[in-house]
Amino acid sequence: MDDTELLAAHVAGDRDAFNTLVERHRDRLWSVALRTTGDPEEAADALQDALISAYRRAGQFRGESAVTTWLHRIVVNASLDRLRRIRPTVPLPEYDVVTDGRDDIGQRVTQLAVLEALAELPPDQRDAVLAVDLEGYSVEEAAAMLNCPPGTIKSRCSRGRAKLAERLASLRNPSLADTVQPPKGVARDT
Amino acid sequence: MTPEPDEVLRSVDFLRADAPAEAVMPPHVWARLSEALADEASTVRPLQRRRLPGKAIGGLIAASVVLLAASTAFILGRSEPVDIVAGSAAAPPARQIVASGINYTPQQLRGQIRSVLNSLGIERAEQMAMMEPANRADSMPDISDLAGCIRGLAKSEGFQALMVDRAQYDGIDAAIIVLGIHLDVENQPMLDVFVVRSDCTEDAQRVLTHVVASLD
Repeated sequence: MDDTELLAAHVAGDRDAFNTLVERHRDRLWSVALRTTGDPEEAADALQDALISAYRRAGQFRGESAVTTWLHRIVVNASLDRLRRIRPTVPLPEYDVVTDGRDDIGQRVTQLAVLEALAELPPDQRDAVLAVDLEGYSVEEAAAMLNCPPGTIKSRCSRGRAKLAERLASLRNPSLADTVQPPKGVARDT
Repeated sequence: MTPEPDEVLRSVDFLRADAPAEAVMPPHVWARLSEALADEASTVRPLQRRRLPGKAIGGLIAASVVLLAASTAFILGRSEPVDIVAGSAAAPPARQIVASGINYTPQQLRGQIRSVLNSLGIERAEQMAMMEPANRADSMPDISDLAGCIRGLAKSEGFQALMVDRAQYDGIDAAIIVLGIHLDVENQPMLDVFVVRSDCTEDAQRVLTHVVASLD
């Protein structure tokens, strides 16, 4: 069965279908949760939140995007929500969990700043910005996926971009950038 | 100069739906997620805030009434109390209190809970609603500091959990709190279990995990 058929089977009451679907894509979902939260425990929690949410909301899937895109979006949102909630208390990890050989501390600071800015966006604006500005979907395609009129996508993108730009201005302003502290969750080199 | 959103978003392109997997999910995480989904499958029916069917609670309530003079019993449907009998002000915040010293783990949590309950002579979930209250011997672990935590979890003043085990969870000092019982989709009684840090309070409950567990 393909992904759409598995999701339909789950909605119809097949008790194994959702598990099969998730198992098929588990490494991709794990990767995005891990890189977003920067911590394996938080990633596992975020993924569990996301999958339970997807399990319950499967009946709302309208087939306007691939099942993987829909599932992925739920995981991204859960991970960003988790990042926002844990940020005030999460300790610096004692080990690198977000290293891929290309990252240096500056890149990770930038990544965390962008993730935190995204986490602060209202979910509807976040979805629109990610779909259009990151994924490259047209406004019309994003509107179909997110089940709202194209005009709504445009306004959500506009408001979301404005908030992102405001939050991220320091990344382009050296005088401010010098004062930016690595966000919590970034492994420090000592 | 203000960065363009699509420019800064490139730094987090791992958020793209078509981004390649760069990590392999550890087996223990997959086991945990599978278990959570299995729990969801067993409890989902019309999902939230079901009231217990009258027939099902009848037997439990009837049995519980016998114990009212000495104790209280609670049957919960998730966070919604059903047919609650209020505890007395002097009652400890749990009917059974143990300090097993076990280091509970995410992978073995349900089995470990079963073992502890079995050691108390409890083989089936519904027995918990009918069991004798804790004997307040001096040697019994003091959990007065968890009274607010339990009140916060239950969202009910004077609430008495079914069991508290002072122990560890993944090496962290924790309390395993069997808060109550609710019925699953097949009307089987399930334990509502919270694992909290030992400094859990009414306002900051510090829940490490929350599971629904069968005793079967």
